Amino acid sequence: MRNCSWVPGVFENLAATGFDIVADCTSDRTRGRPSGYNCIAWAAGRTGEWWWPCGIGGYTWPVAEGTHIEPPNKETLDNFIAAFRSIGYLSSDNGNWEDGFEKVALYVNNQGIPTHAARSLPDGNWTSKLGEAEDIRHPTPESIGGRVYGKPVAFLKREIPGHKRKRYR
Amino acid sequence: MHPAYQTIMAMGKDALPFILEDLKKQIDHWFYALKFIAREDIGEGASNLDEARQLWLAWGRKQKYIS
Repeated sequence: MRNCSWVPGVFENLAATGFDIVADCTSDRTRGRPSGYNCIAWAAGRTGEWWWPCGIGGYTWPVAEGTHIEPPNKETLDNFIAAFRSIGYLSSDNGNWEDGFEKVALYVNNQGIPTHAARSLPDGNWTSKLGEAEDIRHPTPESIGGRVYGKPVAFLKREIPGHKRKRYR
Repeated sequence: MHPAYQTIMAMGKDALPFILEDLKKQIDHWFYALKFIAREDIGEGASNLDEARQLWLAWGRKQKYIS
């Protein structure tokens, strides 16, 4: 496992909330191997694609008929929401844990431009890919927010396929 | 956009050999600059970054920007 002491220095809130490294950096620039995916693709559960709405060959951006209200190559929050809607997510009021659902948090900077996405885990934690670097687990959506990613401003959720909900008596 | 990236884009076609040589060694996010300079997206339709890289390198060889 690599030395990840740089992480709390860049993401200042993680020092207080704590975090775990889920997977080592997937890119290896010394051997010309890129990261196979970025934070948005990771939040969407895709590890062989780089999701960004730039309209350039090699990058992936899902377009589902009728879901995009902006041109698909614009960096807007609505466009990011539409991308996750196209893979089955619906709007959610918050990032609170819900049995049987996985959630996605979308982040914007202080200019309102999307910067990052994180996905909830079944245990109530969240996971993020940090640029081309490590995948981490963090306790709340806010813990990865701050000067780099801004803050989470939109949440979406979808049912986890095959999940058996807990029964309470 | 990083100022250094903008400077490279401003070099125009003179930058293509350097960008493509770098792309031979490693994947980096050169595709925006390549599309801007070449005025076409050679990687259009590629399903991932590595596929786009191969398309751009093949184009670069054909255009004799790289060997």
